[in-house]
Amino acid sequence: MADMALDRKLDAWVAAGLLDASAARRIRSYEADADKPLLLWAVAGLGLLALGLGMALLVSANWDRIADWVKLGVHLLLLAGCLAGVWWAGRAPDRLWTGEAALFLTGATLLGGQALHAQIYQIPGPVWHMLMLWLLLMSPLVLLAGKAWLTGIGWSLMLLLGLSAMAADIPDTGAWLPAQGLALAAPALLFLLSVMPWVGTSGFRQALRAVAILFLLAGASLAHLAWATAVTAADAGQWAVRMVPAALACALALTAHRRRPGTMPAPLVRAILIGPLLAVGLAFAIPHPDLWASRLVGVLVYVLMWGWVARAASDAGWGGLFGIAIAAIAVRIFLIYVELFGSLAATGLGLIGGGLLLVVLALGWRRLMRMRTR
Amino acid sequence: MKRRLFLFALLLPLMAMLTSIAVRQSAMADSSQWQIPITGLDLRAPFSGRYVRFEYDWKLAGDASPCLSSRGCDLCLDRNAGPVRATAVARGTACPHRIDVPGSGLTVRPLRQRDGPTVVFSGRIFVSEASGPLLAQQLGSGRAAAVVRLDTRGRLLPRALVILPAPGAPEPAG
Repeated sequence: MADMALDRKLDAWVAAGLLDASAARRIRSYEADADKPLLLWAVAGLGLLALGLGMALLVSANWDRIADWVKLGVHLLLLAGCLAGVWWAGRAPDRLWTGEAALFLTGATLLGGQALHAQIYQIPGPVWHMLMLWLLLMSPLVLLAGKAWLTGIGWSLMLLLGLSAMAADIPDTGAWLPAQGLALAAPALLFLLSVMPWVGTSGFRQALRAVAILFLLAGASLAHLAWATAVTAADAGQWAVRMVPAALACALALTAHRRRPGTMPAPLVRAILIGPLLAVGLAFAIPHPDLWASRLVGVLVYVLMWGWVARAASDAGWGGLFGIAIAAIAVRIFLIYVELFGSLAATGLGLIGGGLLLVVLALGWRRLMRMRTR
Repeated sequence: MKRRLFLFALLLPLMAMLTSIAVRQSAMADSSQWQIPITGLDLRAPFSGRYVRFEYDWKLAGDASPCLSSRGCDLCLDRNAGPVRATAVARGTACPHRIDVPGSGLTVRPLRQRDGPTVVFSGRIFVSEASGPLLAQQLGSGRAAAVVRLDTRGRLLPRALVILPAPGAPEPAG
């Protein structure tokens, strides 16, 4: 499919005089040599997956007939084998994917082992206990040995999952509130780790940063829905306590980035760390009623946050993030007209106004992009 | 320095697993074995496997109402007078065969009976897909008991489910 698309494009470029026929031939020849048999790999991968699953199901069907010491022993051997794989791959730089696969298998085997211990020794408790223990045991290894994007994303998601599961399960009182706040602080902590030179390789750190930016901005965007509900003084007080770890993590990340400014432009870092923190703080830690005026304030805060990000991204030359910021503002402006006005006529007028605003935004975006490419 | 840290990080998961096994096996080494009648069989098949949930059919003594509150309770097991008796006591009370109810993962629920309200304690045991249906069938047609081990830390560990002989036949020693 991809080859046909490339052929069509090359033919079009030759016809338009952008490329001569011999260059097109060379490109075709190069692409043919570099072609990867993805379909073949996919079929072989599916076969291996079926084989593995089949073996796992055979074992699980007869699970209680296998002695506990056999299960524990085999698990320890598997874990030791995976760890040996991580160690072996770490000795040569060309063993990137072997190392990452061994790291992934180590994580999966450890998690499986925790479940095995819970089953054999009947260990009770919520799932987050297991996730937090997994993070405690695996994080040093992943942070030191992680190299690929995929590993970085996987570990980041486990961190977010563990802290979120903990925040959802522990009581909403007293000393537990800062612990709940750790879930809010997790994206900023990921950003902090992404600027630490001892953490993995640059690809791994980029993944941590990408997840951090995604969850900071998406989280703050979702949090602004709190403006559509009443937040009492008691709720606001609790949220203020929960925000403390997030504020500390942002401060630490900003300080760490100031010491190593090469990783990302400082104004953009400020917009990405401080903007969401303020947006979430205003939405949750300030008491407000559920009135249209509060919703309007919420929209304003949202637009200001994304506007700050758009401006910083534009200045830094981060075209993708700039586009996302403008799209986020556009979607919210579109939604507010449906949200605020009750009658069809008012909604219609609102939509016309919102539509015009979006067209102006799109034109401004296009102009900015053209200025950039010149 | 980084090499040492890497080696430490590499060995950490393995050491943790080994320590977990050592600690639990050492607690199990001095454990006592009990055979406690059970009732209320409930066969489930959640993601994590096929669990048989059952209720302990012991003779409950003492005030078990704190077991239902956040304070929780412990149970003291004894079998001096025939059937296994569980006496509800305050958390941390010392007795020869103490069950740490929350630590053992026992589910506690109130039950209204003709002679007044009581408290029911449930446990669970994992059985494989191959033996689950047969066990369920056997348990459905007769009285059953859980073979459990009670370790020195008060953790009650179900090891197996057995079918008890029909009434009138001699019961196996606990």
